[in-house]
Amino acid sequence: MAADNDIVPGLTPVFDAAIERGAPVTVGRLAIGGQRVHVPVTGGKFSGEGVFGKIVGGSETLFDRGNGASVVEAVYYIENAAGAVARAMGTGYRTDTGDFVGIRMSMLFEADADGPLSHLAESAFVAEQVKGANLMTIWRIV
Amino acid sequence: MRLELALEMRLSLGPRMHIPVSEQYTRGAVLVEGGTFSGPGISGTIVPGSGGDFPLVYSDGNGRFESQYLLKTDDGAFILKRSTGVRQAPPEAVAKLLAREPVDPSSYYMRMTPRFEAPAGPYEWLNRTIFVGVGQRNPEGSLFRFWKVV
Repeated sequence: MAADNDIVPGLTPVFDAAIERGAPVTVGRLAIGGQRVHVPVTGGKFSGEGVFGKIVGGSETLFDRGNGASVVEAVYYIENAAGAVARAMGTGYRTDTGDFVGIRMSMLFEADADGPLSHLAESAFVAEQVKGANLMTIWRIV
Repeated sequence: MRLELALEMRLSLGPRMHIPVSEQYTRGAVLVEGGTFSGPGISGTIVPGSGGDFPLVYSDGNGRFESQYLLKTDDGAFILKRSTGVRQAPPEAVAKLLAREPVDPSSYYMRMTPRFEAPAGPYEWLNRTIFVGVGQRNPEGSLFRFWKVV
């Protein structure tokens, strides 16, 4: 496995996000055996790394396999205090059983290439929200 | 939240192909010719020709990875691996990477976020686990290491 001189990644906390979610919309049980549910993101706030602002939209789309784990595909649009917008795209899982209960996703950002949030598009991230917690924490993979 | 080393993967890659979509970016295509992987409780081979890396390369040489290919475990299970990631590197490192010359892996940022689709059974944990990956290109191919988020 890894040798001493190999790169070992780490995680650095970047943002905390308080995501406000609307009423879920259930598509139903799909032919592949799980249930598709759409959860609209209606608002929220984020802060960290000297940047703060609001969440202006997005969604979490879940595919509930019925075995304690759901596939999550999420999009969050964040807007800083100066009006610059970035799009966060997360893919991962919501687990209801096991060692971790909550949502964990990997995450990439898109932002205006010449704007103040462009640095977000230059790293990869992971996000975690423990079930029942108010905040989702986003960590930069370093 | 912490990281735990889960997989090491060595890939041999075919020739690089390019799709110059616009002045701002090129879609690359590099097919997987083979390889091996191993980690605690899992090992096997990369299925030759089962996919590859299709990076989105910006005009400055940086960009995003989008890869997909199949793993076959030593006990015969097939696992689909898909991954996205980010590469940020200074121009001199980009030139060496594109030329497949040796590059100090600490001189550039290359991080992946793979996900897996595994059959029910001993590898099912892959279907509910987030991973963080680090990649290194070298003249012989690519070396990836993946840590699970626990």
